[in-house]
Amino acid sequence: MGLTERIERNVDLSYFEGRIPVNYLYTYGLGFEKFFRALKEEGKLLASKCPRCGTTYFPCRVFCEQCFCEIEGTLGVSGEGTLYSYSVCHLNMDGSPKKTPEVVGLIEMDGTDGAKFVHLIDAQPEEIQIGMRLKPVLKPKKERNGDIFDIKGFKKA
Amino acid sequence: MGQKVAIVGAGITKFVRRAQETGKELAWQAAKMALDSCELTLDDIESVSCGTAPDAFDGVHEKGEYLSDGCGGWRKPYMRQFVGGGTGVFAPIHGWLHVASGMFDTCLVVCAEKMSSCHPHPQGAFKTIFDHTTEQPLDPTLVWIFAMEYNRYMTTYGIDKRDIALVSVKNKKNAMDHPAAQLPMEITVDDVLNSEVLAWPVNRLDISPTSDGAAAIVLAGEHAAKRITDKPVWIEGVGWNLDSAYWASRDLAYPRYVEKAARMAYDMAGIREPKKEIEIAEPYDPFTYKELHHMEGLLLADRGEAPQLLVDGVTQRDGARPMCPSGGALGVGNPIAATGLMKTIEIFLQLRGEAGKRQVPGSPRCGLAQAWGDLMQVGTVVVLKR
Amino acid sequence: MELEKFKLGATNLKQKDIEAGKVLSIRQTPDLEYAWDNGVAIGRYLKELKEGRIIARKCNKCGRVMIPPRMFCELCFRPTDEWVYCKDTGTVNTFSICHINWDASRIPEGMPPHLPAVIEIDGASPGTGILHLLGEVEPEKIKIGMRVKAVWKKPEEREGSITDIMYFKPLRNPSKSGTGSKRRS
Repeated sequence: MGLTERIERNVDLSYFEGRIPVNYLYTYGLGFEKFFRALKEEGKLLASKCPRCGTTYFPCRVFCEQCFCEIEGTLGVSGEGTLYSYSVCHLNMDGSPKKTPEVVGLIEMDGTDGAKFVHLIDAQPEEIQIGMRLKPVLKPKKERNGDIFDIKGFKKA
Repeated sequence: MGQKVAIVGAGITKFVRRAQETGKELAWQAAKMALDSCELTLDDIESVSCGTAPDAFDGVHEKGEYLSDGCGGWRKPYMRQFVGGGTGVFAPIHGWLHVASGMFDTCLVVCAEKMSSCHPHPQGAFKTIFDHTTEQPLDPTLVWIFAMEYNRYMTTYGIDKRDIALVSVKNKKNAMDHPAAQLPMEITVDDVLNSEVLAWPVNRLDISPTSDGAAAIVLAGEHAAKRITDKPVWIEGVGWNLDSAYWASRDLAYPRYVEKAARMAYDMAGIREPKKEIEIAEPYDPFTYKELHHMEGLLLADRGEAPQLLVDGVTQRDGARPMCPSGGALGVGNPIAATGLMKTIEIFLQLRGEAGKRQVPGSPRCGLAQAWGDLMQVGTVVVLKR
Repeated sequence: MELEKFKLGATNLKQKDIEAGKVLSIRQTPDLEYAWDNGVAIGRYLKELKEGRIIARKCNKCGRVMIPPRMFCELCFRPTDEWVYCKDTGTVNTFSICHINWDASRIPEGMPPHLPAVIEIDGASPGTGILHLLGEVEPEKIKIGMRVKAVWKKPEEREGSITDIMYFKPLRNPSKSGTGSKRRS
């Protein structure tokens, strides 16, 4: 006793097309509001340090995920860091090849307890090395919108 | 059963149309307050349960993982549960499973919802609840199902729409005394009937708002609970049940799934006569008729009789059987998963005599919270006693 | 504890606060499309709709004739047994008169409301309904229990979709009901 009838011909296979017809508008929230305001308006990069357990977060947050304390203040950091890991991407989101490969890296930020930040690395794939020193490249103030691309990427320090 | 389980602390954010906070920040605000309320820290928490409704609201997939830091789930046994609109009352049940099993002595239960991110309207995300092939091509809105259930309920029992509108009047007024409330109002039955018709018989004031918000409770096993507080509120019964996924073939006039969930919870709590023993309840009221529909499913009213109890004032805060003393989803707001937990918290506070201006008279000892959801087919019930 | 003694979280914003940039925000549109496989039962259901027929599936254990058809009976938890043609007439189980679109936007003044209904199809088990729309009827004249009949698209316009039935309209003369498709498979 089969659960389903056997399909003998592919033409009997049919499907129905559709999409989820919505888009999203996200507020940044309390923590990222502070981070991106400072980035946009002052070109500053903010971390935050838990007053109780001392854990440092980058970008800044309003609560400590380890001890659940509120974190009110922020902590300026240089934005420099060390490459923790990276990948060289050859494909776009839709699977088509990129004209030039793009390097995406995880950067361990100076002045934090190893907080890692994802961004693009402006370097040739052959010159990239884990452990290399990196610094952020910011857009000029008038081009900054308060988003992640206010930092264009990171390059060799 | 391994051990008895009590609610020992609670926290909530305001329910608002659009919060600046991210979902995880809202979760943290509620969870932190819950810990503070019983003077615990995250170190005292052995397990964490998160409840949050469809990922499509936020467009954040793996939403349980996304919310985990705000829920206090970092480096702890953490699990997300989700049964649509029933999530908020499944939350204490899920936490109860953690503790009653004896695996953990404490569980932090957090529900958070951020519906405002979804545009043009969160209703759009609900479209995909309908069957993609046989229903979505008809361009349904979720309100269709509610409107048709409302109509069937009203027609089956010959109920007057004026009587159903009274639920909105009562709950929005009750919400005037709730500090988290989004839509507290003093209105009349005529205001409800004259408000914009969305999908007849559903008017604007028959429907709860879309909301952002979070709520949290702390659960503890028997011995831990007595160490933490001298006013534990015990989870005496839990129940949940699902009806057919083919909603159009279901009896729309009566929520069988709620009755099945209620009977499961009553059996466990040793309740034989719910009408006498349940002194106070928070049935899920995302729409006016739903409070009445659910009272009947909960066996707190005979079929088709709940409207008369409402008209007679029995379900007012000072009535014999208060329903939604918090103000419910209609008055406090409806950030889906957080709503059911808000209702659980209301019963917790009422049984402790700590509901402030909302306190019902008579020092109730036994109450219940109930929610409902998925494709309008799940019932979740929790019975609390002090 | 009393809620009133705590400072509750959540900062309420207005849409215009966001639009005016008072707080930072970002817009995202998921770029996804889906192709949902119909499977055996719904595949056949759609194919029959294209031919102007409504087909159901019967479980010989509980005796239910189910629509939409399914290859397993969710009550008996066993395979269903046979295909059964239904009529294209039925009874309104419940309905609504809806003035909003799927995205909660209001239907413009002067445009007719949507008339969704649950319709119990003749030939399927009692109480077995499908979601569809009503048409050719004054909204205020719709009643629960009203007899209705499918209004089909022209054969050349049908595409194997639930929308091959445009809507259900009232049966003018209920005594002549049951004139739906009697063609066999």
